[in-house]
Amino acid sequence: MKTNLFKFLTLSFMIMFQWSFAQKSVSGTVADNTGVPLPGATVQVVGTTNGVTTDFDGAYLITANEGDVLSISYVGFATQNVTVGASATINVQLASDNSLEEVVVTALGITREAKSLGYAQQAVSGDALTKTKELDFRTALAGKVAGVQVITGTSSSYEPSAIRLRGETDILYVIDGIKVSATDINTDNIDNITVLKGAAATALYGSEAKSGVIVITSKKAKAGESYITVDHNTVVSNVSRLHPYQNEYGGGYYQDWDTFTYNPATDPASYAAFQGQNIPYYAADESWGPRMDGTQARHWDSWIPGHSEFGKTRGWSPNPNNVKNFYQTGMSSSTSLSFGKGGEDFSFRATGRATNGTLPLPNAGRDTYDININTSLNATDKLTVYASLNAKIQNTDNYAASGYGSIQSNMSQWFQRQLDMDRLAENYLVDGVFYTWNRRSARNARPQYWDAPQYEQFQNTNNNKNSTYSGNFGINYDIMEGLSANVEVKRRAYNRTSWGRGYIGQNTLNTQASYNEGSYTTENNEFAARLNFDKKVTSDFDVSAILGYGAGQNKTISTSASTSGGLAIPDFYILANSVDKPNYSTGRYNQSRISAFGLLSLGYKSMLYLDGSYRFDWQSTASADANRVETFGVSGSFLFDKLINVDAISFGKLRAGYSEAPIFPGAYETSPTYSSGTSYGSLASLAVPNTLSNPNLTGGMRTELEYGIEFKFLNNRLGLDVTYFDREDSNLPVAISSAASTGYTGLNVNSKITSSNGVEVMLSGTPIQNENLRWDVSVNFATMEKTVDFIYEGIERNILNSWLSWSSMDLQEIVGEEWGMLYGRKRRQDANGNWMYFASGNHMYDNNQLLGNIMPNYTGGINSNLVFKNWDLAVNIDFQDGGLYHSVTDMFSMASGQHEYTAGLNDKGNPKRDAVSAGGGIHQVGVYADGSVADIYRAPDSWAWGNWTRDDLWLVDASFVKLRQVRLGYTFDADQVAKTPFSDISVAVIGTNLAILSENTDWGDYRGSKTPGLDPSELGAGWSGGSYASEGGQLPSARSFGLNVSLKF
Amino acid sequence: MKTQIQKIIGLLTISSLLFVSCETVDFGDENLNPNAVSKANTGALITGAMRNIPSIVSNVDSGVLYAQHVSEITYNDESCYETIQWNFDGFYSGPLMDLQTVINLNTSDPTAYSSSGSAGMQMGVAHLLQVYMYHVMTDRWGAIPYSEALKGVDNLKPKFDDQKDVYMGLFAQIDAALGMLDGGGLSGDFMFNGNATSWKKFGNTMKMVMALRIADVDAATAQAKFLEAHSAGVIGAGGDIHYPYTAADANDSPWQDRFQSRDDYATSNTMVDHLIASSDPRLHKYAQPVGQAGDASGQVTYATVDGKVYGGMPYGVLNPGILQSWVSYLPSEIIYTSAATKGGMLYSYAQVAFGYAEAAQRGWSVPGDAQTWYGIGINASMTQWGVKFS
Repeated sequence: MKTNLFKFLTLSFMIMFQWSFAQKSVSGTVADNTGVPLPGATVQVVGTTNGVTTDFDGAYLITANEGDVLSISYVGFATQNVTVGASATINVQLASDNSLEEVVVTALGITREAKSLGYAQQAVSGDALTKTKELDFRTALAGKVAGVQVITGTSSSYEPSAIRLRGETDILYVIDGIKVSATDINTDNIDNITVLKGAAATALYGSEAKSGVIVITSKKAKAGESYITVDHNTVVSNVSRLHPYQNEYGGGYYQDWDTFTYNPATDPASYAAFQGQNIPYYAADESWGPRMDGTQARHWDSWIPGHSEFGKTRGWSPNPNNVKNFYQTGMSSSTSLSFGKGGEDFSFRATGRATNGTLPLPNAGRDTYDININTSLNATDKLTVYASLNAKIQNTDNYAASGYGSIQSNMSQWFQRQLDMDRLAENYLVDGVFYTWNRRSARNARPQYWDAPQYEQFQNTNNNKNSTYSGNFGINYDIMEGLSANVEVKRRAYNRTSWGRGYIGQNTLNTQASYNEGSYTTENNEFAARLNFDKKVTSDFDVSAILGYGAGQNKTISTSASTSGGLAIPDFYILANSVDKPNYSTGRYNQSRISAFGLLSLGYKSMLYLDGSYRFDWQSTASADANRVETFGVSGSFLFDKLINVDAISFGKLRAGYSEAPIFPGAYETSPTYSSGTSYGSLASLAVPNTLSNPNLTGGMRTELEYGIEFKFLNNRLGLDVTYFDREDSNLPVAISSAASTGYTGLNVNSKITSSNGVEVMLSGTPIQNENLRWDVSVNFATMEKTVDFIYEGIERNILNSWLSWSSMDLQEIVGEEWGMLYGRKRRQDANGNWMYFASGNHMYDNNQLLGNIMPNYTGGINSNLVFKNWDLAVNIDFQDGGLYHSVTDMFSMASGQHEYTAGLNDKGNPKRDAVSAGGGIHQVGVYADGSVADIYRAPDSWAWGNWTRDDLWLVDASFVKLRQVRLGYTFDADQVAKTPFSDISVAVIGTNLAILSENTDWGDYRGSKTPGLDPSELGAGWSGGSYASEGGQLPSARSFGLNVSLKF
Repeated sequence: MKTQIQKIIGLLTISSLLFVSCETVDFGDENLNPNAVSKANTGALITGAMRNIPSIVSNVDSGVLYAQHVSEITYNDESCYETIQWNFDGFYSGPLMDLQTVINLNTSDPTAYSSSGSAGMQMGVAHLLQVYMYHVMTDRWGAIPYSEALKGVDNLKPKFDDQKDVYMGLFAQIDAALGMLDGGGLSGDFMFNGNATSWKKFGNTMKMVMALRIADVDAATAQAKFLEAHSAGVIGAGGDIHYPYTAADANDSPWQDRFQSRDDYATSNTMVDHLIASSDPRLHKYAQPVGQAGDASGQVTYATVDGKVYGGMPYGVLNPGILQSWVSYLPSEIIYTSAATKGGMLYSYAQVAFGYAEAAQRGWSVPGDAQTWYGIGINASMTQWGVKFS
């Protein structure tokens, strides 16, 4: 007995000994089915947390015991399990996964398999987005996602872009679960983006997400990674497109020359020599003046006392590039440094980026500093702690916006064509005195309407500093297998201070100096708690459920102050120096919300999936008696490719869903108040607001039905995704316009109903794929139409935005019509389509006519990515068909004689600006009011001034096809790189905003095949605000080229 | 294990029931607007409404422009009737509604707003100011919403009343207002400082002017209303009613703002030629001598009066191409006025005197004859403009 036990123990010891020696290092390479190594593949010992990732060559090294099972996985490939045997080397070739195990980040940061989602979403990788290093996140998204229309701000300025997703602009941006603004995003730090388009996908975010969510995941260090990367790029940009100017006639109101008449009573004796010299009409800000034929004349800068040009005449000649010469070469450079390290139990990544740049607009510049830190720690095997911090600090000098009265509206609409911009730059400030081209007269240097353009940019300076801090801190706890809890707090704080000054000096247009200051602070604090449940109930059946609770609060404080009556002590720009009591106003906006929701997902045999969600939201902005909105959603997807078994179809999915999202009123619309106005001396003044508040205002609801079908053909080489959505907003808490005679111009009601529908198509494919060359191409395309169904009992029309004060043009909502109808003054035609004229020759017109619809018919993009050995070439094109806007630049550049059309030859072959009696004039054919034939020639200035209020003359077709981004890059080979301290080097040449490939210039009777003018894909928001229906003075578009170098240690 | 799951499910169900049972959540005061006043200060509402008067008395487009007192220099569209539709919305949603609110609040709760003065004074002044604005509106637009207006959601489509009904309604409103003015003080009144007598004179003068307006269509009512106003007492010599502009930017004359950085207006040739033809000494107050007597375009007519050269800006010529310095500007006294005696005129004694002259001419039983009143009117205007006239 004793000996048996001893034998047994000895044997066991020997076996144990053998086991411990059996733990060894296993290494090898992971490659795809063609032998191409897969970097970043995960090799994991099953049943442990021991895992590594393959390096750049697909090689890995892991400690494992014999008999352990290694699980090797990589996105897009079928996971393989290999048992560790005697050999220390295990090479694996993974087979392509036909059924797309692709994992997508969805609402609340929950990752789901793409195949299981029953609603429309589109993923864009961070690399695809940042190939051309765009700083504005929204501009970078142009043309990449079906259903997203990007209206870029003018590219020669810092005007922000806007995104419409399925026609709506109030999209929610989320980075790692934190709600942010699109301007907070450091584009370099993005790992991937998922655009959740419809209400179904956003049922877990609440009312802020009703129009869609862009879920951004920032880069994190993966287990086994350890790197330092340095990225630098420098971009230069130049103005590329300007308005079509005429270069035949200079400044003035008539073509004959005025001459100088010496007045011995008032002029200095030396002026006698000027007798008879040609004097331009300096005070005119139009170009209907004399022909630029080189005639000697006294230009504006020949009246500066003590100046070398004083008293001299110069040729009156064209300067076709004068406006372009105002702009300079803008330069922007950005450097970022990232550190990342990940292990079994932790991950840490930090990025810092500094961007400094100037614009083509002189004296304007911006510096931005970003810091992003992302970290997580497995504190115990059940508890994970994670935190992230994003900081962005930005300083902008001399921001200029588009719009009427802006600097570009001066140069395009009210200018003199002969002006030499270089002389303006040199002489606008001489010996401390200002001079302008727009002098009141030869003897009076005071400006008539305009200072020199340099004055606006260099003297009326402004500055804007803002900082954003956002971050989160959360805990995940595994309660038991399949059940975990998550608690997280998040915060975003944004603070902006700005100041601007209105300078005065000798001979400036403004005779009263001014200074204004403002600050804006907003913070958003959130708390979220979640219980997650995940279980494979049977081998065919998965269940997962989430129960969640959230609470959030927004607080905003804004103040603005400005001097009144001028500055008491000159040149001292602070508010305390205001002559009269400064204007001062403050606004405070607070709102809170609470939400509770539940989500249930069922999966059957990886073929059939069903999602259901139910949600309660309470918000402080609704009536206190009814501030809850309940919404629910259900969606399903059916993967039918396994059933039909057609070789060509490698993946097929049908999706359908119905969802609801709550819409709450804005802050304070339920409380009746009086607004304070400007006081009279010490007497305060109050006014009844123009919009009637409604104490019974409740939340409304958006319901959406969505159907979709996805195919992948030919072994996933070709993919097609088609979605149709049908959305209705009802009970909307909105302000509708009412007849002012009721005492109010707007009423806050819960009655509006609008509906919209559209189709989104994404076609993607890899036409060429072999060892050296791979070409991926995708085309996306979307249509959208929104209709107004109901406004209020008895009200058929709602005026959204009436901003053009010179004629009554406005954007209207009309029951039964498509949304976005622009109404205004339209030229009248008779029954046969002839133009009808007044006796004066001006077009007859009718008010309140439909001019058109501002929304596009369809939008889309083409994205191509070609990889050939070490080279990569990416090309992005986006396009839009339909849509329109009204152009004030066209209107006034015509009226002021700047536009190309106002000069040149008419159909008789004579100069249009010759007297009509001498064969000049613009030909007008039509009928008079009595029906008699009108066949006349009209002087261009009479034509322009007589018809400038006919709004339909100045509409621009917003259709375009734009070559937006091109990138040509080279990544150095592993063996070339091995000689350097780096592990990865790549360089690239990038170009953005390159060219408009197609646009509609042949529209309206004064266009034709003319020089293309303003870029139809860009529209500043400074004039018609968020409706993008009119431009008031658009800054030119600029083309950029740059160089990018990326190094990895 | 099973009991654990059961416990958890139980906990979840209870907590979800708790949430579900909450029909509303009490957010407290969060949605009370801190940026605006929720209790009305009726005195401040009246101040606010009064501040809209400059847009009437110092109006240029469709005011002194259409009457051809003033001419546009470079951008002559308005003189050539470019804007055909003028909008009265701003009156309704602005001052008229503010005044109606004062009336409604004092009607429903006569003592609650006593910090701004007596309910009678508040309502009386509010009514008179409403009549003043409605009067201007009906003279400009004819039929306007009046009897059904300013009722908010209770009447979303107020009908247009005929001008006759508007005038009769306004007369009735004046009479009611005059009866309410009990002299109980009014804060926020920077026009008359709560003086009931001044307001009564304002109301009666307004009634007199309105009466004369309808003299050709309803002589009987016109005469009756005129005589009522006369016996109740209108403004007398030196009682011109001006809007009191201040020197401070916030409440200065709109003319000052118009000429801040632009020179769009000059005295028109219609006015200058007429003043010269009738040897009117107010020429020197209405026009400034030209800066440069010489017009390259040959459109300006120059005349010398008392050694000064005047040239009125041709009225209503599209694209005239005339330089500002070739024509007579508006004098600084008109533009940069800040003294209470020179501000935007609501009613002047000269106007009243000429009114009496017309009434006498029509044979209404007013003291004095037309000739005397006519002379008084001329003298009053000269005094108003500071012109020595014999």
